Amino acid sequence: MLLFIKVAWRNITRNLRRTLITLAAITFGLASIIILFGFTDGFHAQWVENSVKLYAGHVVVYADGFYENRNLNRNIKNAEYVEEMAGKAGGLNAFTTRVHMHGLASTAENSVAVLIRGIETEKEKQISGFDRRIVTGEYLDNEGGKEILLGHGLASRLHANIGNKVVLMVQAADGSIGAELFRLKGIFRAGAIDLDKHLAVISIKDAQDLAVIKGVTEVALILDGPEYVRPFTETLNQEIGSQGFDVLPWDTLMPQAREMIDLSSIFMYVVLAIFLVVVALGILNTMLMSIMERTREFGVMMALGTRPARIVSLVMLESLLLGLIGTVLGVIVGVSANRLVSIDGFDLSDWSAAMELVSSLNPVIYPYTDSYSVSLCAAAVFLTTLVVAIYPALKAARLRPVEAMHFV
Amino acid sequence: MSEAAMESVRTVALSKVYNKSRIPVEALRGVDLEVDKGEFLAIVGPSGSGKTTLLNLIGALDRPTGGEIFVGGSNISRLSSGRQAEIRLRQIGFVFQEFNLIPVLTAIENVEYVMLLQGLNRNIRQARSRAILREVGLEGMEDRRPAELSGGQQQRVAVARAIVTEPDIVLADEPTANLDSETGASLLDLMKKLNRDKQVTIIVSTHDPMVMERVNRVVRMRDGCLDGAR
Repeated sequence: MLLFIKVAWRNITRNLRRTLITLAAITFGLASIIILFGFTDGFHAQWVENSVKLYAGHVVVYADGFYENRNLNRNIKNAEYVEEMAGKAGGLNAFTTRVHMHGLASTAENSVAVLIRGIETEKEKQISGFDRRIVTGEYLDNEGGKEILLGHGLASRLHANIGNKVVLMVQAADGSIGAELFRLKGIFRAGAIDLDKHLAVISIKDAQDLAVIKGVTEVALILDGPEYVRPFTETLNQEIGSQGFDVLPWDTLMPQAREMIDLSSIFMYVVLAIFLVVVALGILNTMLMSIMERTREFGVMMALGTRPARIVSLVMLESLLLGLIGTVLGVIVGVSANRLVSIDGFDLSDWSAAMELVSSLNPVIYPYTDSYSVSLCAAAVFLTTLVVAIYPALKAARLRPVEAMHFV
Repeated sequence: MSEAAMESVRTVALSKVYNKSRIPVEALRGVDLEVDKGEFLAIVGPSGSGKTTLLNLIGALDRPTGGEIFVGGSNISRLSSGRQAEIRLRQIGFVFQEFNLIPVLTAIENVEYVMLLQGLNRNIRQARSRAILREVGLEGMEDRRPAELSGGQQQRVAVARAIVTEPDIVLADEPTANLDSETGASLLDLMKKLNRDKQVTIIVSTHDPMVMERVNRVVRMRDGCLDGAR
């Protein structure tokens, strides 16, 4: 068997230039697709992370029924219990409570329908980070101080400047119309067009007063990483799901984000498929040339008693060795390039306006080396090199010794 | 010994027609030939007379258009490619005019190759290969590749490869055609020794008078037919 492997190996190395060109095609092709997947995975990871922190949390706990009909009466009065149980589920990194409601914001100039978010001002710095997103004015520093932050688009529509009065009006939990006067403390740029145009942020105490509730509408939970979302949700659901709570993961709360990621992944698979066809054609060309050059040799091998199946095995073995080396090199080059670029990230500042349309993204993308994506690309390329070799292998095996030996 | 037991190769009304550019060309026309075990036979005739075609058919490298071929008493005329390969592997050794060694293998590996196909273990393969290369005068050249050997040395490797498994029959297609007379003579002596010592049946196609002087019997071919015997 060793001799058989030797034959395969020496056949690969006999035309070194051609082998190197084929290896380069496999290696750089695979590396490119790993880099592209790394960039896309990084884009997705950042997108999810930012969206999760800005919009909700990795996991959000609501009082049973609030998520469906936004009834403020369905609020959580024992958030501490939720925090305690979440702490036991494993993977919890940060925790905050919020009050969410729809309402109307008015200034002397205009009135606009808004989404009102009441936040724990200190804790929220670690999560949505609105303090870092202020472009004019300052962040909230006074719980119950009747101060308000507006998205820059919303502020513009209300013609509101720092220090101006803004009246928020909502239908409170008790059915009354709650109205409260706030002072515009700061204008933020969240980087997400819907938040910038519709979100008003106040302290949670002011929100509770406005809504006439003592509890909170949601408990937002940030985990150590997206990989904890599924197990954490299942565990917490088992613990408190039957006690009047809805435990929902981010992709249920933001199905459009999930669908965008899925769509983007499909696009990547199409790119991968096109790339595989190109690699396949390259290898097929090399293999067919190699088979043609060695027609006489195959004839001799067959004349000596080599069975057709063994000829197939030999050609497949050559392709396997070529594919294996190319795949290993491709993974090394691709992953190394990803790691290198991820140190400083890939700056897309020039397109930041376009990216804002998509979601809350930083203009610098950090490629993410996802072992699943790398394994998928490597396996696809490796299998392609094997599948492509089947035709040349069968072609070689079907040669007739007499004709093959006289092939010039 | 019975007549059947003495028989090494027998062809009955053997014919072969090639279609070259859709024009049928009769390479063999009803060849009847019997070769006994241990015989050293030369097939002579002008180019295109059908010598190589006859050797290819006897060696299960090709299939006849008509007639039968018996090797060691078994009819091999209509076997599958796999069975033909098995016959070539177990019963027949080939020496080709063009040497036809596997270029990526060294001399010893070329000799080992057939034994590898036969499933012999590495130690036996190596021991036998070294011994046979010594016998054909290539001691010390075991690790050279074909490109590093002269034509005569390559043909000796080819002979070593053909006889290392001690086949029943060795078929040699113009084995001296590309060799100088001294190398050719030494190769023929080697084949003669093999034929005499191990009773291997050897069938050679040739134009070379030196070959004809060393064989037991000569048959002549012309236009795909056997002319007669000496």
